[in-house]
Amino acid sequence: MDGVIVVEPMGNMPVIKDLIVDMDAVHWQKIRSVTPWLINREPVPEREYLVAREAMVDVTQSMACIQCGACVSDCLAMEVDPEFVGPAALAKAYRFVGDPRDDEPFERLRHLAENPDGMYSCTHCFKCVDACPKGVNPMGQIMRLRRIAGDDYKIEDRNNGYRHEQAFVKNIRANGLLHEADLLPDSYGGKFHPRAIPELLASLPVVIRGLLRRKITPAKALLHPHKAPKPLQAIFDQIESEPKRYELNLYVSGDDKDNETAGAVTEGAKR
Amino acid sequence: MPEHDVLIIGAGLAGQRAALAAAQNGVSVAIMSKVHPVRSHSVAAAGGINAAIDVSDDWRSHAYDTVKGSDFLGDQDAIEVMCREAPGEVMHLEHIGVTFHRNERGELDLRAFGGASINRTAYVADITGQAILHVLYEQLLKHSSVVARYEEWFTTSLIIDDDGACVGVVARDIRSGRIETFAAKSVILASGGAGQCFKPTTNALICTADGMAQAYRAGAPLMDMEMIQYHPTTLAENGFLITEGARGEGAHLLNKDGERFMSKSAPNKMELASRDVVSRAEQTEINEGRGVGADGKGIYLDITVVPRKRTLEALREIVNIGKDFAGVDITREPIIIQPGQHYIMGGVKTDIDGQTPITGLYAAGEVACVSVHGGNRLGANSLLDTLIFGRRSGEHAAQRALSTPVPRISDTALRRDAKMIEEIIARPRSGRRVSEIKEELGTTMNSHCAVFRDGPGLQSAYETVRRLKEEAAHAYIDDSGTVFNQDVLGAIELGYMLDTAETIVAAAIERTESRGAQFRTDFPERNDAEWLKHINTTRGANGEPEISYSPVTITQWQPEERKY
Repeated sequence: MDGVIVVEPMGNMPVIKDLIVDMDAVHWQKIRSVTPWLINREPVPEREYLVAREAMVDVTQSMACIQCGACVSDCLAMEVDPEFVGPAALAKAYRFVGDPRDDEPFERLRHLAENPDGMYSCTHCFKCVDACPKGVNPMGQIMRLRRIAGDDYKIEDRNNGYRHEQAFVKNIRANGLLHEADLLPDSYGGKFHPRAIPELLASLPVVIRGLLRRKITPAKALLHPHKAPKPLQAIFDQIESEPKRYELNLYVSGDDKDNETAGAVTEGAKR
Repeated sequence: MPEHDVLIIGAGLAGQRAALAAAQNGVSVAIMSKVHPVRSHSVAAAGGINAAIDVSDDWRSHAYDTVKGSDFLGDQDAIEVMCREAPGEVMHLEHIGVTFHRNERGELDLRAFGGASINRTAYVADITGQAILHVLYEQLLKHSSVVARYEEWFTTSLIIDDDGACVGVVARDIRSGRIETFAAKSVILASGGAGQCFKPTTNALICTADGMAQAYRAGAPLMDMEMIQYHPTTLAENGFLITEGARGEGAHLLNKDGERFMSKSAPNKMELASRDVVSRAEQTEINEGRGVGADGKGIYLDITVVPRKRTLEALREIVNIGKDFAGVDITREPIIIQPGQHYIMGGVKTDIDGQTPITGLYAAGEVACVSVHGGNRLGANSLLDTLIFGRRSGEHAAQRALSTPVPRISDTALRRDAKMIEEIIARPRSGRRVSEIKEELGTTMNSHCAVFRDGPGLQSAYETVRRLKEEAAHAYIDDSGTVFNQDVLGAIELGYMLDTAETIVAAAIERTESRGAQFRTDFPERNDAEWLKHINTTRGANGEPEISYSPVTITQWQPEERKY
């Protein structure tokens, strides 16, 4: 409504009084679940740990979190699954996984990947990115946890989170458009993977719902009417041939033009 | 009744550091705070923390800069302790996880800061206080089994036994309204500053001088209270802090003629002179008609001379503040700032182990006065002060606890405070509102106890504060509930602020010279012969502040003319 601002208590947390919610019961309990302190790499040096400049700037993005709980309040995945570790705690987890001084990134990642309410429960809805007043980009941090867990540590979790993500990539690379009939079997390792049969049988209700809602049709499931165009495949080739994974981070951003001062920019514009 | 060896009031940097240090000494520790620890005002410290860690730096250079910054009022034995222990403390913070910015070699990067003769400020973008505070809280969570946390508990008074020793506190659980006595062998006050006595201020709403007033009422002396720091760069619109890091990165101050006027008062250090010097220079420009903005009461801070990428990476918060609160892209155009109340150098008098003259009572951080800041604190020395003296207090209090029996406490103080709260809630709606009195206090202090002061102005402020104290005794509130009744806490805080403001003005009237942050237009010179000494205020029998003096400790640096 025009000129009206609706004020209500934060979501996903029990209300104590008026606008006051119990952050300890939800937000802080989830923060505590990710072992929220540095586990030092040994030996602890006499002076500072020598670490890459970019690495510290990188984790500073999640250090910018003020623990306000806005992302937790707006998280749709947590609304469906109250046990979901959630955006704030996962961003906090990245702060350690991405910190080269931490000694147990693998343990942290394995725990968050194998947890059925862990990093793969995020549904990419962008609500937390929108809600964050500090530019922490919690969803971005969750995606980076996934990439490090899957690509760097090869953690194939029991929740099929990693394979499901790979299935999307494979699907788009081949078809250009999402081909839902392949998505499910690919998420279990492919149609002919021994694991796929029991999993697919268990997923039968999902398949039937898909058929009823015409998300998949028998014809589309068997034939592949759409193939990815060449330029799209070129994008995949380009990204995958990069020696380093491309990570977008607001704290390590900008191009050479940003290195100039505003005065120099104006000068350049005049010329 | 909860009992602890060491009970810490306040969970900012000083309090959390004290708790961790005490716990390491194997005693039972509790930390109590009226807000969740990560909401403590330490979170607002932006620019960084000073330590002589560069190979070409020396702690003596840091100490000299601090002594000079203090206008020779700082106690040099305490300054030596702080500066000598600084590198070790910063390395400790690095080891427990603070994400300090690095140079290309992977070592801690150091930025320039006001009053420093070399780059010596370690930093995390412009969220250094937040980063350290959150890392200390991570450590508190890690050590949950040995440090009890009372989060959102409001301390109403210190308990002093018949021998004059502090043996605990009375506190109210904000969530339930329950009031309780806490027994402790030692109590460490770490409850922060007094910024809310002024309006505007860079300080959070929670900075209401609680600890200073509690200690003052218990008989402890408050020292250097006249020394109020006005930060040179606060946003003209609302008084928000614009970090000194901006000038550290190279930003300029300009008057309405586009002149870098700092060349007049600090030809060598320019914008990076100490804060009292820069704030006075700005106020002079404004008073003489060379200010900017609609009312001519501002100064331009030009950050466009800093490379844009560097600003986006290292001054991110103020990029956002400029955009959100002034509608200015600081990477493209200057932003209008003015001097604004920021810090109190004075506080509860302590020794270098945080001990106050009251047995069993310690103080550390902004609530305390060791005195390492004297007449003027250098930027990035406050985080250092909180951590060094927080740790030292925690260690000393823990050692003391090992040889002290558990105190026996009656419920006299508890019943008195419970009655006091009932009385506030029951007040008729005939007097003024708490918020009105607070507003008048803040504007009065900002008019008469600011960058420039004079006798008549201070006298009128003193009379106003006395009148407000009488009005506050009948001020009414709206909320009579028990759960999260912030209203009743506001009435108690108002009392803390008024007691503290009274000592600030009394000390400012007393010091008839100009030194550091105290500039008397009626006494414009520094007068070492008469005033190279601390002013202490204690609560007299009639409730008014009584003045006494204590000497300044000088070890190796004799007072000299101060030039930047």
